[in-house]
Amino acid sequence: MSNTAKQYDVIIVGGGWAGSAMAYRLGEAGKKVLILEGGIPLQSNNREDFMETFFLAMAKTPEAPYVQNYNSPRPSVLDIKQITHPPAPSVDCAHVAESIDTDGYFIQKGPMPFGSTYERLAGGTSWHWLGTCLRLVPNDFKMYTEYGVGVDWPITYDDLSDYYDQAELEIGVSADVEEQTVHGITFSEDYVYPMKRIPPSVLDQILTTELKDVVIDGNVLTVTGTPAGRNGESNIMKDGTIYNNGRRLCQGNTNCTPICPIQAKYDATITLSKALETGNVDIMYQTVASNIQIDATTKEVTGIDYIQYETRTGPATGKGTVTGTKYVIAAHAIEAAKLLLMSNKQISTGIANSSGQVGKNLMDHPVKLSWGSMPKPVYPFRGPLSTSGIETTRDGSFRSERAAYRIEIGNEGWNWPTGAPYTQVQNYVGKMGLMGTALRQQIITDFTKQFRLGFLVEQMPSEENYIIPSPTCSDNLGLPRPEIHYNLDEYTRAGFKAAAEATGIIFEALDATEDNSTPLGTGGFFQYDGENYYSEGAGHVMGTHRMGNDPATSVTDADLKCWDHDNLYLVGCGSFPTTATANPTLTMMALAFKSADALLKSLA
Amino acid sequence: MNLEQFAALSQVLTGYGQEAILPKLDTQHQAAEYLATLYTPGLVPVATLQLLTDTWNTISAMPQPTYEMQVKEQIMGNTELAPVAKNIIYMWFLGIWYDLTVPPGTSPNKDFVVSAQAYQNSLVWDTMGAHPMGYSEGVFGYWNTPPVIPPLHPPIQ
Repeated sequence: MSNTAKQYDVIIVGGGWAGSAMAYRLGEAGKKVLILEGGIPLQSNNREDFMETFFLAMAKTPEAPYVQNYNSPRPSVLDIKQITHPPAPSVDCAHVAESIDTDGYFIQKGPMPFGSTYERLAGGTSWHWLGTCLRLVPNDFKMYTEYGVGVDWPITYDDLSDYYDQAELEIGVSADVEEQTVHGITFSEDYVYPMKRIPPSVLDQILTTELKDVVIDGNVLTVTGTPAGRNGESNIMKDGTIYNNGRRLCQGNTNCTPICPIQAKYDATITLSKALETGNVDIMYQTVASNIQIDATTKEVTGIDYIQYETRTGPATGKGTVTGTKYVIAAHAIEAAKLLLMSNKQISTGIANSSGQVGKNLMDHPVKLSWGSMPKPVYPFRGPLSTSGIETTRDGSFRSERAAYRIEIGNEGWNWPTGAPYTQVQNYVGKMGLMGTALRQQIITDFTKQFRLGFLVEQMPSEENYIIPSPTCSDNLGLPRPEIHYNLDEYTRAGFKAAAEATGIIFEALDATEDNSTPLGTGGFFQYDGENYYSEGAGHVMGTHRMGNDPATSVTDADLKCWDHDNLYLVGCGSFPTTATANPTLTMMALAFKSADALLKSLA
Repeated sequence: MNLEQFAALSQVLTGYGQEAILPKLDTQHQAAEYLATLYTPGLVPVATLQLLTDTWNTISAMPQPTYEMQVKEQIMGNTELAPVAKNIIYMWFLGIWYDLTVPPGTSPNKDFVVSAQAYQNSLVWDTMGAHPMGYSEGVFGYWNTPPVIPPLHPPIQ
């Protein structure tokens, strides 16, 4: 089947966050858009089905609500294991489903495993994002100039400021402007977020008081409300209207990841639906892009080849090619790089890759978890997963020596590091033999005092951290699986050490007792300066098609247009030259809107 | 073991009263679901279930204030019955049936969540003043103030 009947201005690969944002902007402006989405269709009952799957899942992981699709597979946190040397023998890749179930979708080559995952369905990984909508700080855009590490972005904070406004409006962000002016972040005159800050949890309030005089590396540990893409109380906007996105107020289900049961938290299906409602955007589901065609003379993209399937385990049922004037790859940092590298096989380096940077510089925010017990109850497992954080630690002269971090305050007790409450209850009953009132008393005493901090540590770009299409392992459609090479360098490891030192200072100030057990996800074990550390994935996959000012060292320009191909744009977190410390989604969407503007201009 | 016997034993094991385990207006039929799970062929040997029933009948014939001590001794202290009793506790508190045919923590195993409703009704969350993750009946902002922790019944002497 070939969709040649209709002429499209733009073909977009991927109906996730960035693809939906692009499609909406382009569709609004009257452009004819076709989205190729590899996953299952967007339907009204998706959320109910996903909730049922979640309730019945033994391991309530980020992936728990979403069934594996071997024709458009995704990685799972349950597959993140320490990599042994030599590597343990793996299941024969010829048996695709068994291999993916046993060893995971990724082919992890180490030396450390890559700890982050994503979803491949309409709406993308926004189905299980946390909802954090922090802006980057101005120095994040100029790490090389300011600190002599990494690279500079080809844009500044001011270039992105208006697009941050647009992204915050589209998402519907709840935050307080005054609180967010950290490390030089500025806002346009009279700017208001669409909604007021989400109320702080009991834990947030105690940390705000107890840490207000604590200073680390010259920064006071000020606790601030985290800008959230979840519904709070409406603000009156600049134009006098009361903001209303028609969705419900957050009910505090404490389940932002893996799924908000009531869609009080924004996800990209909202923007995707709006894009489709413009009447200018079409979408083909269960349609996996398999190749990008390039004209040998003009170097322009001439079409996208795709493969279709009907069931998640069944065979391919069709294939074809779609054509348009412009093309956008919005397929997630790892999948986009994979598609570029496996396309146009007569050029061995893949396409858009004259710089050699496609698939390189794979980065995340490796997370150091610190958890323990407060001297008094703080009542976790209530409210959104996180409502506040410490942002003052995100910048400082120390960044010339070691990675910065932000501190996320968790409202879900020890759930992330230890699997609470399940593991502890098994211990109380199974080992201690508790029952009845004594069991209830133990639960009250222990669980109400649990808290955890997550230090999101920045990572610098490196050619040694990369993804390539596996030469030996494929998915059910015969498309290569991602082979990943990954490590944490000295800079990031020094950031972990600083985070561990900060943990000591913070816990002492709180009179809290740290729990030093090994966290559940032990895949990210490493040693540094004689100490053991455990790194968790943040789900923030960045850097694989970075933008820049120089075609020799970057894949796209600041409008996310490929240096090598005049009609090809690459959007998503793969564009990030460095990670900074803020959760990347808001910046990704701001960049997508910026790129949409440039694309529209080029079509005019 | 019938529903009333199971509910009475469950009260001693969980520390929750009749209104939580087998309320007069029983819209959830949670005790019935757990009892049916217990009797699912293949999960627990029939002889063990009979021994559990007999033991409980012996205990329940004694004065009520001794139930807790007797359950501790005769059921939690009995190597054949303890794993089953613990699984009853796990069902009530976590909504989970743990595979009794392999040592705890073994993988692979046949552990399972009894049902979506069992997860939603699991008592560990209620005990600590919270709600099952993904199933809150709270209103916007409830997390801003401490919860009311459900009071414990005084331990039975």
